[in-house]
Amino acid sequence: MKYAGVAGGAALAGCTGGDGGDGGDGGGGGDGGDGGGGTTTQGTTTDPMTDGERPVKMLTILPFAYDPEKKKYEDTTGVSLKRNIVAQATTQQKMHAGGNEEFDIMASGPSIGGDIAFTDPPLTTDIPLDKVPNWETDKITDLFTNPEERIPQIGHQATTIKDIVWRGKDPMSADAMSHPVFQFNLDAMGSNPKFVAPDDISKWSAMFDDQYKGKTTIQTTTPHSILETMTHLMDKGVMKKDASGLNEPSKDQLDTTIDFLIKQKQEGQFRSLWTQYGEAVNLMANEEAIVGDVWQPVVFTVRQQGAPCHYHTMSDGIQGYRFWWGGVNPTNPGAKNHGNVDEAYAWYNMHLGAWYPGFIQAIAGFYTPQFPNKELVRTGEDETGKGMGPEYYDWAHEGKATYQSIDKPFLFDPTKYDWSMEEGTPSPDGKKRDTGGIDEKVSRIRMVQIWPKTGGYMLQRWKEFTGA
Amino acid sequence: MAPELPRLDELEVPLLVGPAVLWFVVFLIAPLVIIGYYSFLTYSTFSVVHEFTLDAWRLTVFTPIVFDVFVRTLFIGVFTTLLTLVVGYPVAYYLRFHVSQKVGLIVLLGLVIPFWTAGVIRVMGWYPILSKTGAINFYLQQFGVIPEPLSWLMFSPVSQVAGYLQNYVVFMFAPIYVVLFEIDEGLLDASETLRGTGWATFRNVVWPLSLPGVVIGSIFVFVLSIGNFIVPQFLSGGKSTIPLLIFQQITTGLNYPAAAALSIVLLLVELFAVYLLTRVVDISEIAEG
Repeated sequence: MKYAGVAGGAALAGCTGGDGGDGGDGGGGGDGGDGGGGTTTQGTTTDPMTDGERPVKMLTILPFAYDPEKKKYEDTTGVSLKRNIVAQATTQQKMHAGGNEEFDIMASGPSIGGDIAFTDPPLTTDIPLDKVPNWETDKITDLFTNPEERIPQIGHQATTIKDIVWRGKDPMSADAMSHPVFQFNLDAMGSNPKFVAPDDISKWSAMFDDQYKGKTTIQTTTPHSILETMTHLMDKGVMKKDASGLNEPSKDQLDTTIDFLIKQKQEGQFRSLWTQYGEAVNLMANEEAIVGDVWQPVVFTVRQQGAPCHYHTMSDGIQGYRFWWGGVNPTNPGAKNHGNVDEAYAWYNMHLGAWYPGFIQAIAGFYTPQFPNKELVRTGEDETGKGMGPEYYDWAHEGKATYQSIDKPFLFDPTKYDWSMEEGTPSPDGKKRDTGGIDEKVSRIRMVQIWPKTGGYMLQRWKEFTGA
Repeated sequence: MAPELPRLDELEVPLLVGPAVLWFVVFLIAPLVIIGYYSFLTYSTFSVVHEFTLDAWRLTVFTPIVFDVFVRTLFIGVFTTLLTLVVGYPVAYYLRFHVSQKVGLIVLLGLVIPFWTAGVIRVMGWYPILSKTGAINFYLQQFGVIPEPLSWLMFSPVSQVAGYLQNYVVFMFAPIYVVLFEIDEGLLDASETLRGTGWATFRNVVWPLSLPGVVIGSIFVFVLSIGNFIVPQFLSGGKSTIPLLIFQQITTGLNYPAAAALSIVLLLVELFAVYLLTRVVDISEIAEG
């Protein structure tokens, strides 16, 4: 039974009202709704969310940890949340170094989640679907419920989605998720349109292009940059093209890729490497780098600093989008030891509601797995707030232009735009979302970032790149 | 017959030396032994297996890339030491011999105050100054001096020099200033009486007497600069140094054996450098006043 979202959690927690919620400060497409004001259908005297240690402690990375998101969680559940926000690799390091006992909730991408959820013993626990009232399998994107048919062009890589998210089980009959998805994106290349035209780039090869020598940046999150570079080398004929096995590189492939990267670095191809989110923003905003494999929220943050930035539509060849998702789990045994397992479930449940899709799309450009549920996400509302509204939803998911004309598209900030909640007509001078509609993009997914079986060797060789 | 209790004066030495010995054992010797032990353990992705191996040394330390990084790190240490000496010594000399002690201490305080902020902030502060859209490039373009931004200001040797100089000049300046202050002015008068020129007085009197301060400052700057990882992380554009490699070994893979092996080599290099410097100058003179 689908109960009244996290407001139910709020009532279960003994929260009798809260502040009503504000819909967040960056979500657009809605005014927030009525928050967790006790409008629950499941208030009971048994309250598992009052027993745990407070605050609930979460280990996460910046793109998974915006302040309005925290506020929404606290408002709707009545549970205080403290986040430790670190670099992606550091989440993995912390979890292996005792974070599984210290923290309650852990949010991670697939390259990290695919490691920590599958160690022996696992550092996180699965989330049973019957503990997540907002979960409705038939209203979740088939990128996660049927990946092998939705993105057949990547062969076995699609199976790795099922392996990580569902522990290899059939999504349609599974009763728990090993890496519960709350957002995803198709990563691409970012550039500064003062120096690079939107049509100039559609491949990861741009990072290694002579014309941008000394002006590019590449991330140091190893599984990401390795995949991107491998597709470049495959396109160049240095490596055999193999989309199916791309995210499980052999040692030979790693050697070839890292040797190439070392050479590029020594020849001065990269202006700088970036590790932390803020580093990428600084590099692009200060025009130190004009091309890079930056994340989509970097584009928005750069624009908010007054610098133009563009996120490119990727090729439909081997150098297509890099697909990833954010997953969240209770830690093992931290959440159980602290009595905060239900709090972790509530965190996930809130993100499957009506408010979060609009919030995260505006501030970071990320999609949510419940986006096909138009009744909820496009025009609906629930206890977390209102959905995106027609204009915003169509702009984000269907590649349609804004209803209003936009003068400076490369400075467009979805958080500042006044999205219509009524049906309307896209303007000929409107702004389309960078990279376009999601259906077209999905057909261009070529890589799924995971932690490969050769991860140890990859790290061993990677230090040669960082040391070069 | 009851055993005779030791007299208090017999306990004086153990009581005075004991805390220091305990401190060194707990906070120096024991950690070094542990680090040494870890450098011989086996690394398996994200975990350390307690099986003896030389892999950390063979695969991490004794490789051409790491050798290059060591050379780069040492070069940075030596260069920063010389640079801070060239900048810090004249300032200390001027403040000692040409302004009052009060003014000198105020200037010293001015050099120290920036250290009240976090190291990362001090380093990141160079971004709005040196970057392509930073102050220097902005004004040079505004005044028509350059047609386009200078790219060699940031993520270059220039930005690194700025970062190291800013962070470490005070560590060179302060001991030199203190030592210069200890110089008996009668010696300077004597040199003048003997018709020594200003340069001769400096060369034969001031410089030799200030060497303990120079050596102590050099030890500080050299050891601190080759151990710094904030400057190379944020201002080098990806050029690694040994501390950065150690940091990355831990943050990207929990590879404690490799980090331990690198740390030991770095420590040996530092000890050797300190040994060499103290062979040149007897720094105990500074304690004798």
